[in-house]
Amino acid sequence: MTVIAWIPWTKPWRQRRDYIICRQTLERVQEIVDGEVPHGHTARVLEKHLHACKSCGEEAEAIRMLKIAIVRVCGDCDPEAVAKLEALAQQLLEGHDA
Amino acid sequence: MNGTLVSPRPGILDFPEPMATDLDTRRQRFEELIVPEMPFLARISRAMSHSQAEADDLAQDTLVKAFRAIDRFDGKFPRAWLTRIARNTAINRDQRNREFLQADDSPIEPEPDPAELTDPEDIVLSGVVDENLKAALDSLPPSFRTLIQLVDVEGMSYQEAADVLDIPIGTVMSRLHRGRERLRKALAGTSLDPQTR
Ligand SMILES: [Zn+2]
Repeated sequence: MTVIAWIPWTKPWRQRRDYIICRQTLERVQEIVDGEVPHGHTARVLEKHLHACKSCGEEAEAIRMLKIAIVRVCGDCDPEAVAKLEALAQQLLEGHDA
Repeated sequence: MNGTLVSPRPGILDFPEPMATDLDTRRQRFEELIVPEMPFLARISRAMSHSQAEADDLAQDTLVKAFRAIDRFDGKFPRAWLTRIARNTAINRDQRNREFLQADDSPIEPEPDPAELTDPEDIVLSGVVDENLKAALDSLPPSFRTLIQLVDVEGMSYQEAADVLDIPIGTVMSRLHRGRERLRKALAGTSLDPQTR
């Protein structure tokens, strides 16, 4: 990193700034997608960057897509397992404690 | 207790509620708060187990324990309460579930699938992804799968998941991250794959 990277608004300065913002965003991208970053300045800066930066935006999108796919695969349960549990619950309610 | 308790006025407290009422209240609480959560209990038990048969046993043991302990339940957050009972039951059940207490970081080497699916919308609708994802989820340690189930499917916050699983919030974040990375690697070749970025 050359000294010029510390002089505001030069190209190296902007590259260094973008690199730092990308790194900070990627560190928190999971939290952003999970809605765990509290509303406020930080959340706004990170969201803005996700829209502006292709690679960070794609990372967020990939996690979002994965979450959607997980809900589809794990959102349902074995109906037979539920039926067994409901039958057991009825037995317990009727006083047949196992 | 400070020993200077004023004895209650003679009257209602001298005549405890009949047992039948207690039992009825207990049953009513169980019926209202716990019975509607059977699909949740089935899902979470499956996530904590290595097979459906194991999941059935876990869910049933959890339900019986919940019934017996319903007096000690404050009535808030039945899902959190059931998850805690299920987690403790799973840990006590067999040695393999000690995994719940420790992060299992054993690597998984998925078969990379060369299917080139570039449009994220296609990915989400694709049955290929579902099959691969199902297999990858099955190969995750139960502690990771349970966390992903709680956060991604059941919509718990990091803090809620940390509380019910009795792990620090930092562990929640690192396990989620590592679990998701493994799932994405198992979907190699699709646009969920971190390597294709
Ligand atoms: Zn970026």
